[in-house]
Amino acid sequence: MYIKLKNNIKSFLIASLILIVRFEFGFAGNVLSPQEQQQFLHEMTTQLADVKNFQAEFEQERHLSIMVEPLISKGMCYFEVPDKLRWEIYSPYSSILIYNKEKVSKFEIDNGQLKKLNFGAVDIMRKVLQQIISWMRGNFTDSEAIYSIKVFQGAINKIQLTPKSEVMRENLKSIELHIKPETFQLEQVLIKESAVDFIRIKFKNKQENLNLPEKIFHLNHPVVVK
Amino acid sequence: MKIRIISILFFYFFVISCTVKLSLPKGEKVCAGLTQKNLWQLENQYPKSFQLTQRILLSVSGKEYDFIGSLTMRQDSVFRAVALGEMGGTFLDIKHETDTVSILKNSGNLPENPLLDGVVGDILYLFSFSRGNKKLASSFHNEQLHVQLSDSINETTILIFEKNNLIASEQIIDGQLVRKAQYSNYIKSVVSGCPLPGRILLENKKWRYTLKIDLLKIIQIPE
Repeated sequence: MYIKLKNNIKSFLIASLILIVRFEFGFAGNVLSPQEQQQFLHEMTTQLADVKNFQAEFEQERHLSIMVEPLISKGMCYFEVPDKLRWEIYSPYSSILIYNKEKVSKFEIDNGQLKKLNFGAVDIMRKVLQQIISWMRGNFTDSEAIYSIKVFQGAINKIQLTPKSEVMRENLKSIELHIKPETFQLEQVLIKESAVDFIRIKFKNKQENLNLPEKIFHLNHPVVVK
Repeated sequence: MKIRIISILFFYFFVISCTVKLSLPKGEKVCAGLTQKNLWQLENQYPKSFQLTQRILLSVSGKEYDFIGSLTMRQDSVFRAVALGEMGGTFLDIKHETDTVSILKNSGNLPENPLLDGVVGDILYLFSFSRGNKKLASSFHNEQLHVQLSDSINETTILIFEKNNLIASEQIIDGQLVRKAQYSNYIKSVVSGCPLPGRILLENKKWRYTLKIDLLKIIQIPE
């Protein structure tokens, strides 16, 4: 009786361990080998080459251990090849960040008036946005110098970028891009800042290859959409 | 003669009680109750322990930097203030306890003096008001209540209220104007029920920067 019970408990523990391991990695899928990864990223670049522009709504959740509740922001993202990006937040405040041919402008909307900031963080933001644009085109070549890259294939494909530099890892543990398998569309970004702090950005209502007005990316007088 | 002297003295003290200090505009004699009411509201507009989420625009040396601020304030002016980048990252993390200030993170490598003297002082000035034992003088002028609070050493604070809301303040230390603030866009706090400024414009005259602080959220937290 005792031995039967002991064996049952042992089986239960092993089964639980398997389930935990599968849950941890089963969600993320199987990690691809370097050759498979290269093939995956090449396929991604090819598929995304047909996308000339897109617009998508996003919802950003900021989870910090010091904050009682996460901060939720909503906005719109616009992108046009080869090098235009607009990141606009309309809730709970209004702000527009535009990257256009290596130039960066930032705006706020105050009492309904668009005001261009004399933005002091242009250089840093330029590098960040250039990186984001590369990823949106499925190009991770430049990122290989800064990040170790792993691709997990499963129900949702995941590209995991981990900073190589220890100094960078003090502020950023990893970035995960969640990609739809058939279309290679970016569905979600997960920025892990520490073991507990993270930012989750979910994209929805994505529309591609539209007639986007030029003024969406204007560096001085952009059109205010929302 | 005696009655005359007493009358003169009485008149003198009556005039003194209605007269404002040099830095306040001359105005009508103000009802003490109105002053006390406004000061009480100012002392109680924030709960004893709370967390604010704010959108902040810092203007310094001709440049502007925007970020999200998270301020957790507890009793006895114990607080933790964090400045977050809109797209990620923590630029600044400061902890203030009764007698000590710790800079937990300073990714922007901001110089220490403006941080410790400037930012910490700004936070205590804006979010931790207490009348304490300061001397008080007040006057009513153009529908605005002007209140002057002075401690026995070197600090004077001037508060200007309009329709029971604080609209402006100044802090003078050792005869120098250190801080000026304007308060606007009042909203009713879901936590205290008191009106809270939705926007604060703070000029730090000593360290020469301006903060535009827009309130996004306030949460009461356990003490």
